[in-house]
Amino acid sequence: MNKNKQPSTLNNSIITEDDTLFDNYLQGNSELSGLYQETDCAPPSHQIDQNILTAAQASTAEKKATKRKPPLAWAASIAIFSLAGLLTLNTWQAEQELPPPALSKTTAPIEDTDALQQESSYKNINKKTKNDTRQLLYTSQPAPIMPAASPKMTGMRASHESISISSPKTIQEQTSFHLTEQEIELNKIQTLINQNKLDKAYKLFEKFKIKYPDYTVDPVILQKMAPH
Amino acid sequence: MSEMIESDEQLIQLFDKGNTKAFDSLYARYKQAIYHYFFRQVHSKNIADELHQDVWLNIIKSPSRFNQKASFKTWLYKVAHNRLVDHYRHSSTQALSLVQSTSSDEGSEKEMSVAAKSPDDSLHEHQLKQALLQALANLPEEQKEVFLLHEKSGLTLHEIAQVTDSSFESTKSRLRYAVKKLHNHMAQHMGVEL
Repeated sequence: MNKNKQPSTLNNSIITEDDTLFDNYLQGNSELSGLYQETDCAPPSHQIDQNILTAAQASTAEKKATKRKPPLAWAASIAIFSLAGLLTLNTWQAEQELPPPALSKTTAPIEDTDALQQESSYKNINKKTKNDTRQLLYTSQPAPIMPAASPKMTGMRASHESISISSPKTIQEQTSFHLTEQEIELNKIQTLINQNKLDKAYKLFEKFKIKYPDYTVDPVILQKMAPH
Repeated sequence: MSEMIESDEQLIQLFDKGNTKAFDSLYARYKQAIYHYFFRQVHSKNIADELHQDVWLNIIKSPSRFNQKASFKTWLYKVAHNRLVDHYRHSSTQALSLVQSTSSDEGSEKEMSVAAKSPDDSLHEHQLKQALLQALANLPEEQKEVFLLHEKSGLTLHEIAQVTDSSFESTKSRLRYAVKKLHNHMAQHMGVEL
């Protein structure tokens, strides 16, 4: 038992000495620390320093370059979209700013008298068209030249004000412009026959035969006008 | 950069934002300590150079990995510790003795230049340092690392525990054994009570 106690006591004393030694070391009271601090090794070589510092600079430069890229891409995208937007807006504005009906408010310079006459004639036609298109005899007026023929009017759109829609009668009268007098007379007779106004038709036919004895009349009319 | 001294944490953040001078300052502060940490453990200038460079390139590559909650110093030594462990795993040269390293790196050791002094005091001091370094080299790796981190890098026991992924008690115990062994070695071989 005594043999066992002695090591225990010895161990306790050793542990105590270790604790004291360690506490002194931690508090900086040990010469061990001072001696070790004096042992110094050489710093890293100058080449290693250069390698590391150069790598740091390269990394920084790369980061800056990477940071610049996205704004450039954004700027390019914005520029493209802005350009497309401007083009669209421009087209829309051009459509909106088209001058009013070319025929009534044309500002095209009139350089010769013919053009002036043609335009004034067309204006008259336009006014009449507004009032009563059906009474307009298109053939009685000189044929108008469309203002679009003028260089500055090219590309302008026609509006509802500048377009007059002819009635069926006007068309019929327009076509009659190319008929001869005999044909006109016969047409009138035919019209009267169709309206079953045979007496008037017969009288007109008698006059027609006297006036144009040699004119070959349509057999259908002759049959209708034959004496009963 | 401004004249006022900035903390390690501010410097690494500045470097992360592209300030190269901030890194220069950080490197100037810690290059000696990190190199010393490696050199005292691998006992080879070439290997120490390689490890030292790897650690700093790692810091340069990913400064954003620095966790704001920890201190930069702890993080830096953690990176160094991991690199050293990795070196030990892939190398069989860890058993080099201090004698071999001092003979091969004689030119790079400042303490070796002390030997050129002729007075006896300088010689005795040099012998003491050599004995201490030899004792340090003979320590187990874990104890040696804790001693180096505490002594040369100035880390507290808590910080060393974080760096080495150990508990506080284990770290304290390792340092206690290291100090005891060094003390005993100096007493036995040099007759000096430190």
